[in-house]
Amino acid sequence: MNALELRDICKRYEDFTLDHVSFSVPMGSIMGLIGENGAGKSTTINLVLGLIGLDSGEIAVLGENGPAVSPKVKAQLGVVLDEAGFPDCMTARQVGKMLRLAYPNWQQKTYDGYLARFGLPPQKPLKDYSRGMKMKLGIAAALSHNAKLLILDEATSGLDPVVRDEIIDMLLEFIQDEQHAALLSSHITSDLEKVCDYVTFIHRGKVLYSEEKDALLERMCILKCTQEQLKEIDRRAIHGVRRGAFGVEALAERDRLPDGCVTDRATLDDIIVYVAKGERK
Amino acid sequence: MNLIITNSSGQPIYDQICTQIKAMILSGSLHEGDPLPSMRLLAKELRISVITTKRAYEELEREGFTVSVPGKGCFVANKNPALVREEHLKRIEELFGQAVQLARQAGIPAAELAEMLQLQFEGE
Amino acid sequence: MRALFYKDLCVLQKMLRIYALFVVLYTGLMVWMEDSSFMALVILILFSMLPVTALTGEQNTNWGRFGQTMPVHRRTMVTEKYLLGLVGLVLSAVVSVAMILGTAALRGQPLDWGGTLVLVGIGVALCAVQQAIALPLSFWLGGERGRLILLGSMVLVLLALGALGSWVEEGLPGWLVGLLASPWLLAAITVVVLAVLLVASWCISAAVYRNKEFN
Repeated sequence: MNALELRDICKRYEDFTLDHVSFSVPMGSIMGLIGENGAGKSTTINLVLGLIGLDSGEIAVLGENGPAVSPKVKAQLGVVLDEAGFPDCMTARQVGKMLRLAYPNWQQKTYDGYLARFGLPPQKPLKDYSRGMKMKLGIAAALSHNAKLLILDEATSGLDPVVRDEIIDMLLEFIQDEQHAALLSSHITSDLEKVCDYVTFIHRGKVLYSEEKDALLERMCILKCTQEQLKEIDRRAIHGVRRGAFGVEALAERDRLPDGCVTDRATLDDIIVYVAKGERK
Repeated sequence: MNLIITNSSGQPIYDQICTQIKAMILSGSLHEGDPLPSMRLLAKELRISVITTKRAYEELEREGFTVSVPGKGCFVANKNPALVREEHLKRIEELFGQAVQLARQAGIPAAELAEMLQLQFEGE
Repeated sequence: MRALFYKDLCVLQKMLRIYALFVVLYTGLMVWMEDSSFMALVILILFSMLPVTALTGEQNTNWGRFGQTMPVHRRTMVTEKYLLGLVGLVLSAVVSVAMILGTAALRGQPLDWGGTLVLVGIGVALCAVQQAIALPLSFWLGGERGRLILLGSMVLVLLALGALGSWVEEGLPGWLVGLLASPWLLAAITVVVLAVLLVASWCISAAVYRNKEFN
């Protein structure tokens, strides 16, 4: 079963349209959602969570078809948004109490364990927490009610590398069995490269790539050549070009390039940047 | 079991895993019937995708180095002498390829190379 | 829903403490002043504002977005606010009656149960109407505009009370006097009307909230 399935979803705003976005997150895997600011990542997640309404298309969360996500399914979702969301006047202990009343599968011991592990003082009001602490609390909460699907929307931006590393470890632990899955939207592509099995690249409201992360990174490369050499190459192989004073760099498909080309490994960042730059020509 | 993988070589990660596990089997550090770590555990520890470790394990099984028992995991297969020989031959061929390339660059003829090989054997 | 109640209690804690202080202060003032029953009504208004206060507070923070990820129906969230409102009304009615009668007792005056109950009853009715109007508006407009709604409705209720007061002084029309003769009938009619109003208000709020988008 797929933990999450999006089929041709569309959402129209005045100045932006999410256009026929489709992808799936299989159980037991982690899907990374990448793209520029304003590309549609948060809009997609908002649609999945039922925060905004769908114009057309279908979303199936943990096997349940939309349009709205029922409380039964929501009880199995662990969500961490970019702003922690708990009222500032509450303490971590009170947050735990509130969530215990809300979630049928609340694991108090697990929650307390995370508070201790993260060094979060349970009696301090959240307004005295740093941003990193608030995010850690959000993650502790998301992991303490036997959630099957974890959705993180820019949950790690603004956190230091040490904390992000801890979070990566926890995500990897989370999917140790086939019964869990995660959807991560982030700008910090280095984190995604470490932890994702699949990656979906959304650009200006459309899905450009949605495949196994390693396959994508093997398939793509950074071609380095001269302007003239570029002209000789199959247009379909080139996905984005950066012209410099001493030559040209392009995001290209390895297989379609002729032998003898000078290439470099492509990273997820490269893919985002080259596609974006390519459009601006 | 130690596995060192690097992002900076051109070799795909699943290939690096395969190569290293094969080397361990051939050298005897991994014995017949030894269990391999689960795909997921390996992925977690190496911080790579489980799809990659799965691919590595599938490759190893396909080449006959391991067998997977449903519900139990992957185990080192019984040593197949033909397989071991073939693996060694493959490695030698690779090394020969490198030597020949160097020889061509330096303009050294095949005859001289063959002589060097002979000397190496006799020297042992 | 219990989770939402608990959250609102945590959030309103500080405010409730301030209100408790007000109650003490005002009672003190009332003992000192003449004919000061109306002051208790201020308390009534404050308490009846609780759900709207909680709602606007919510929408100003990120709770609005996060709350939607919890396993609670949107209509349950709406219901919780209305129930909070009812709790506020009952609490404020009890406190107001206690303040007025308490003051009278402290001043050695006779306890006017009938008059007090009518006064507080009218206050509660007006506040219930205020809730019925302000809650759907808050659900719809939320956030900053919610504060304006809060202020606006408070002003409206005070004006209505004032108008009611002067109307009573001018002299009531015949049929009303007849009705007042049987206060239980009046009370019953009022309760029914308020119930209908609040249920209608709930329906509007639920419809508004169901379609709300949280970006």
